[in-house]
Amino acid sequence: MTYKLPAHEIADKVRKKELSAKEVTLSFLAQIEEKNPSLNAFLRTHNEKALDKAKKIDSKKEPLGRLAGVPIAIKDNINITGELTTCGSKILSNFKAPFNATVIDLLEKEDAIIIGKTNLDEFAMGSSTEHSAFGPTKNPWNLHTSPGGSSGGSAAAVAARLAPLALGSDTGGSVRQPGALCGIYGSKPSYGRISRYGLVAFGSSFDQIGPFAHSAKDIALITDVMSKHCPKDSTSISFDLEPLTPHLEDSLQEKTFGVPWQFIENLEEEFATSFKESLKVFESLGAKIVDIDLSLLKYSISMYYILSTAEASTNLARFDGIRYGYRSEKADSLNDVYYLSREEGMQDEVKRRIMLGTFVLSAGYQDAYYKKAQKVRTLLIEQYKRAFEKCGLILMPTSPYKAFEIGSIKDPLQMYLADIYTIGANLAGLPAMSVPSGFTSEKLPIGLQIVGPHLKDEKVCNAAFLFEKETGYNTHTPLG
Amino acid sequence: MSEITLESIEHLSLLSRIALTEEQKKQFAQDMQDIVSYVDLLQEVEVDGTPLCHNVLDTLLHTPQREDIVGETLERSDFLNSAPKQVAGLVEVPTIL
Amino acid sequence: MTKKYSIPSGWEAVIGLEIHAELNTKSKLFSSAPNRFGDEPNSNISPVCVALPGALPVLNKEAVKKAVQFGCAINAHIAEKSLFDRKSYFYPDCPRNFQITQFYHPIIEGGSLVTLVEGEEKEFAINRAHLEDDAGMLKHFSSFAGVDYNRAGVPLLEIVTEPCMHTPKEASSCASAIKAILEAVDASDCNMQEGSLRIDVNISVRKKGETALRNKIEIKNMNSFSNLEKAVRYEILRQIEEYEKHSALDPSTVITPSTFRFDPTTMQTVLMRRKEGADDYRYFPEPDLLPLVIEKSYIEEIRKNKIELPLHKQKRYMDSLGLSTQHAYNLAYNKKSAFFFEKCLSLCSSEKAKSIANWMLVEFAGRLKDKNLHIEDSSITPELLSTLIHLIDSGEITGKIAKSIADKMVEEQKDPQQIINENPHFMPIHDEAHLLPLVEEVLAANPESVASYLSGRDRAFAFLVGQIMKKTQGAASPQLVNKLLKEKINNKQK
Repeated sequence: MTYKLPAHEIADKVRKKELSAKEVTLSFLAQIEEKNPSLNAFLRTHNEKALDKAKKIDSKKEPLGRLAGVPIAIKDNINITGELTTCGSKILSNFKAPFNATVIDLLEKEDAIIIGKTNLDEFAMGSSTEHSAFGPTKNPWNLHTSPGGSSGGSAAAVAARLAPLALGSDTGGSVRQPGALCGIYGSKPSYGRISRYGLVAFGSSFDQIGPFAHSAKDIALITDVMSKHCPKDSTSISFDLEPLTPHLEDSLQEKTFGVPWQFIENLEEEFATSFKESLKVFESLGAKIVDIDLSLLKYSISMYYILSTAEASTNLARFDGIRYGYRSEKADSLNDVYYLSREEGMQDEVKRRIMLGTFVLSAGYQDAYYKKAQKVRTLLIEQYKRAFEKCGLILMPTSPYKAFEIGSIKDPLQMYLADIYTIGANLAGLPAMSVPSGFTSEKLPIGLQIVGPHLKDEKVCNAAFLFEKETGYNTHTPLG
Repeated sequence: MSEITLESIEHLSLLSRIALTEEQKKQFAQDMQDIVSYVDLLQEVEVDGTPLCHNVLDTLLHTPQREDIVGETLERSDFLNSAPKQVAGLVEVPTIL
Repeated sequence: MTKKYSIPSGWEAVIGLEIHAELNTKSKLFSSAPNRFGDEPNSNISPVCVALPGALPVLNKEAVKKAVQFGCAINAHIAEKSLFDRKSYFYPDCPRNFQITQFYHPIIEGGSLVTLVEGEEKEFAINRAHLEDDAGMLKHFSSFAGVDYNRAGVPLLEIVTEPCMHTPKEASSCASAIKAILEAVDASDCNMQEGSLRIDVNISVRKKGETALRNKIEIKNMNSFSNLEKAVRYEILRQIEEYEKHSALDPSTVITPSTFRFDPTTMQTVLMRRKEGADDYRYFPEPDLLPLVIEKSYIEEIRKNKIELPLHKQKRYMDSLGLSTQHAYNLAYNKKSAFFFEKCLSLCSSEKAKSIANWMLVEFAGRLKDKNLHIEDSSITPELLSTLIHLIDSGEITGKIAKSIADKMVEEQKDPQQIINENPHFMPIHDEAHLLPLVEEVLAANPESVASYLSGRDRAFAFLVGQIMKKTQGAASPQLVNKLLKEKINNKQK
C-alpha cells in the first residue's frame, strides 16, 4: 500500500523509478477522496496541479530531489501562488495568493508534490480545529473527537494516511498538540530556522512552520529541506545550521534529560503512567533523568495570551475589507467597511483575541500587561538556559489530556489551558517535537514532548528517532 | 486587577474596528474578564530591572539590511482585480466624510 | 507690502517643526517595490507594501545610510542600536493599519544646525529624527474615494525640532536650512509640490516669563516657505487675541490641541479637527524586525566624509568669491542652484562669480519668472550662460547687447552665438572705418571732457566712451572704442 509508506521510502523508490510519481499521487488522491468527507481534513485538493507535477517528475531527465514524488498537505494559512489561502476564515474565503511561501518553493525544488490545503482553527487561533469557518476536522482515531489544533487538518491528514507529510504552523503548540492527539510526529523548529515568508502571521515572534510525519526520519528529511536562510524574512537565521538527518543515530549514552517534575505534578493517571514509561525508555538507552526547575512555566499561558494576542491584534488589522478578501455588502460608509466586514468575516475566538491584544497594548494597560509579559519572557528564556546547563534535552508531556469530544470545551480559558505544556517552547523559541508514546485505554494516542536548546534541533530529532526505534508507537494506525 | 466593563468592550470594539451586538458585548465582557483575571497572575512575578524581550533573536542577530534594488512587484491588474471594488486604477472605498 | 512682523508686547511665541522627507532611494523602505513619483496608480507595489497576508518587512540599507548622513550633518547622536515600532491606526491609505516607525528608540537624537536669520547667525536644536514608512494616497471624488498605494511604504525621515523658534522668520529659516541639508547629503529631492518634503508647524504662545508651555496647535502641510511664514504670523496673533479676549478663563481651555491648515487665499489658518484626547496608537516593538545595529566604524566613516553644508557654502561664496549675503544664501541653500553656479564657475573663472550670480539671480531669474521656471530647470545651461559671459568679457558684445541676447535665449531657447549669427545688429561694430568718424565727432563736441581726462579724471574717459556708444546705439565694440579713443586723444596731445 503506497499510502502507508513513509516519505523517505517513497522518495527513494521514485528516484529509483520503482514507483512513479503518478502512481503515488493517484494513490493518495484516492485515499483523500474516500476518507476526507468523514474527516474534513482537506479543504481543497489540487488534483490537476499535483498530477501535472507528477508527470513532470516522471519525465525529468536530471536526478530527482530529496522529496521526489512525495505528496505534501499544506495548512491553509500558507501561501501557494494562484491558490486560495483562507486561514479557515470567511474574511479570506476568496483570497488567492499571488506569491509562494518560501517553504513551498523549497519543497517544490526537491520535487515534492503539493497535494492540497488543510483545515485549521480560524487564523490558527485554537486548539481543536473547531473554530474553522469551514466546519471542524475529526480525529481519525475517533470521529467524535477533535484532532487538536490549530493545525488539526494537517495532523488528521497524516494520521489517516491521506498524505505522508504535512505542514502546519505552531504558535503556542499548534503542531505539537494535534500531533500528540493524532498519534504522529509533530515538530516545531527553533524560531528563525524555517522562513515565515508566506505564512499568514498570527504571533510574529512565536510562529514557526512545522511538519507532521510518521517517523522522526521523515521529520528530519523535510526539516532539512526547509531549513534555509530566507532574505525575505528578517527573523530568518542567517548563519548555517546543523542538519538533522546525519544525527539521527547519535548515541544517548551518558546524555541527561531534564524533567520539570514540579510543573507536571497534576497529570491524569494514564498520562502520568505513560510519561514515566517513556522516561524508562531513555534510561534503557543509557541516559540519565534529572529534575529541573522551570517554575516560570506557571505563567506561560498568561504571557502567551498577552503577547501573542498583542501581535495578532495588529497582524490581523490588515483584514479590513479594503484591498482584498471579504467586504460586507451592507457597508455604506468607510466605517461600515471596517466594522461590518470584520464583524461578519471573523468569528468569536478571533474577535476575542484581537480585542484582548488591543487591550493589553492600550494606554494605561501596556505597562502592566504587555511590557510586564515581555520582561517575564526574558526571565523564562534565562530559566530555560539554566535548565539546559543541567541537561541536554527536556522531556514533558505534550498535551494534558487526550483527544476531547468536539463541542465539549466551550469555555475559552479552558481551551487555552490545552497549551500548558507546549507554549514554553514558543515563548523561548526552542525546538520541540511531539512523538507518539502510547495510547489510552480508549485507544487514543498519547504524545511525549522533547524540547531542546535553541538551534539544537538535531538533538531533539535524534532523541525522537531512537525512542521510535525502541517503541514503534508510530506504526499504529487508526481503525477504518 | 483590571475590570472589563461594557464600556471597556465598546472602547476595544472601536480601537479594533469590530462591530458587536449588545449580546456579544455582554458575552465578550464576561469572557475577557475571565481571561484578564487569569493573566493577572503575572503581576506576582518580580521583574525589576529585567529587560524586555522583543523577539527571541534580538540578542543573537541584528535586523538584516537589503541592497537598494527594485525587486519583485505585484502585477497591477492582479492586485486591482482581487480588490472588492476598484475604480480608475484605484482601490475604491466609500467617501470619507 | 506686508507690515513688518511684530508681536504684542509681553507675549512670546514658541514654534517647533515636524518635517517628513521622502528619501530618494530606488526602492521602498521595507518593500522592494520601486520608489517613484508620478507613475500610474498602483503600479509600484509589492506584497509587502500593500500588506498581503504572509508578507514581511526587510529594511533598505540605503535608507539607513541617508538617515545616518543627515544625522552626521547635524552633529546628532546616531544610535548604534535603534528599534522599530508598530503604530496602530485604521485608514484606507495605511495598508497594514499600522505604520512601522521608530517611537521608543529612534536612530537619530539631538543635533543642531546653524543658519542665517535676517543676516544673523542662529542655532536651532533638533530633538530627534527617525525612519518610518509612508502611507498611500487617498483621492477624493464626489461620492467615493480611491486609494493609490504607490506611495505606501516609501521611506520617510521624520525630523522633529525642539520648540526653539520664536518668530515666523526663524521658523522658515530653520525649515529652509533643514531642506538644504537634506539636499546637500542627497537624502531627498525635497520637492514640496510633489510631496517629498512635508512641513508641519507646531505653535503655542505664552506670556513672557512663563516657563511652562501652553497648549500648541499644529498647522499641517505647509507648501512653501513664504506660506509658512504667513501662517505662523497669523496663528501667533490669533492665539494671542484669543487669550486676551478670554483672559478670565483657564488658558488651557482657550487654545486646545487641534490641527489646522493654512488657506493661502484668505491668508488664515483654518481648523481641520480637534484632538479629542490623544489617539491611542498603542506603540510596541515591531516583532518582524530585529534591532537596527549600526557599527561605530560605519558612523565614523560617514562623519569623516563631511559634505559641505549650506551655511559653510554660503560663507565660502561670500568670503572667497565676494558674493553678497543674499546672493550667497540663495545659491548655497538650493542644491540645484549651487550646482549650476559652480559649473559656471568652472567654465569661467572665480573672478566672474559676482557676474554669474547676477545673471542667474537677477537677469535670467527675472526673464524666467513669467514661465515659472528657475534657471536650473530651464533651457539655459551653465555652458550657455558661460558662453554669454565669455562674449561680454572678450568685448565681442556690450552689456546692453548681452541683455537683448538674454531675452532671446529665453524666448527662442537658442545659444548666444546662434542668436548673434541670426541677428547681425547684435554683432558689435568692429569696423574702425565706421567708428573713427564718430570718435572724432565726440572728441570735437566735448573738449572739456578731453581736458578733464588728460588732467587725470578717468571718469571723463568713461563719459566719452558712453557718448560714442550712444551714437552707435550701444552696438560698437567697447574694446575697439576704448582703443580708438585712447589713440585719438594721445594723437591730439602730440
